[in-house]
Amino acid sequence: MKKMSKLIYVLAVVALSALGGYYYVFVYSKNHHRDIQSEKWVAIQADSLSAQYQTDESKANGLYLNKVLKITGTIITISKDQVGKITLMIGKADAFSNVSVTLTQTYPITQKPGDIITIKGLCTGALSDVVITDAVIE
Amino acid sequence: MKKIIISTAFIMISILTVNVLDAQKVYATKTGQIFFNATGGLEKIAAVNNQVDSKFVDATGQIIFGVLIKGFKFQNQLMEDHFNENYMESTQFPKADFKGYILNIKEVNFTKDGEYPIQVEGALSIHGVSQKVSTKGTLSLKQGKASIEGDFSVKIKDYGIKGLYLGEKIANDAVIKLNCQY
Repeated sequence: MKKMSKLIYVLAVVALSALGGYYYVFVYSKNHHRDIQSEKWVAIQADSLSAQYQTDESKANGLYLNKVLKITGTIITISKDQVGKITLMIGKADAFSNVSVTLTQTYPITQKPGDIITIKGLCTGALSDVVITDAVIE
Repeated sequence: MKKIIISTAFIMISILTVNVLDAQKVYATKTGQIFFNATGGLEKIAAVNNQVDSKFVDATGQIIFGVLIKGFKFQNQLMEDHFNENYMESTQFPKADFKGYILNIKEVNFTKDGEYPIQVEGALSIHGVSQKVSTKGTLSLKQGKASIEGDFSVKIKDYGIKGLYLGEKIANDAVIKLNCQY
């Protein structure tokens, strides 16, 4: 009888663990994405960020890659990406490289090119410009 | 006399060079799309990146694509984390790129709207490893705007990517689809 209850106990633990694992991998992880806006951020000026990436990309990645940044700069252009999200280029119009930002929103923003703006988003690295995704206007 | 001939030749070459440079147009986007699918089992392993940086030159067919690995978005956060940490090692190798040529660019009439089949060849660098890639695609022109669509598959192991579930839950070959509106 004791052996039987031990077996039931072990089976119950295994079943619960499997259920927990399944829930975490297939349910929780699907519905809970990284909440970028609630994470600790680093404040920086747009032209300083792009200049640091131009000077030493590897060092800049060490400091900013995959981190949430609060970036302030002048809007150069406002556009939309292929899925309708608002994109901004911020920095200096005559600079070789700037900061390319994709906002989470699809509706138009009130700011215009030439305005100074502060956004908060995730730094994914640099191509021809520093790329910021999942951003919101502060 | 000799000096005059040399000077005239130099001026003519300069004019011709300027005309050629004037004639070529660079098409560019920073918001192209790339889809990645490496489903090997029941669970879908797919992601999209909407920040593809791409340029091509109509006169030469030179084409480049650049993409940041951390910009790939999965439906499942855990999958995204594993993709970055265990497979792509995106902190060490933050970007992937393709540099090559549209081989039959001369067959594209940039003054006429339409869909033109293209043959692209070049070097694809992923995870710090570069491999030669050759694929077909379509270049579309509509009211002066160009877009390129294409897909190809890559053998994940060819790029030095290792991981526990490769060849099982994760397919050995990943299908890459590209859609860039310039």
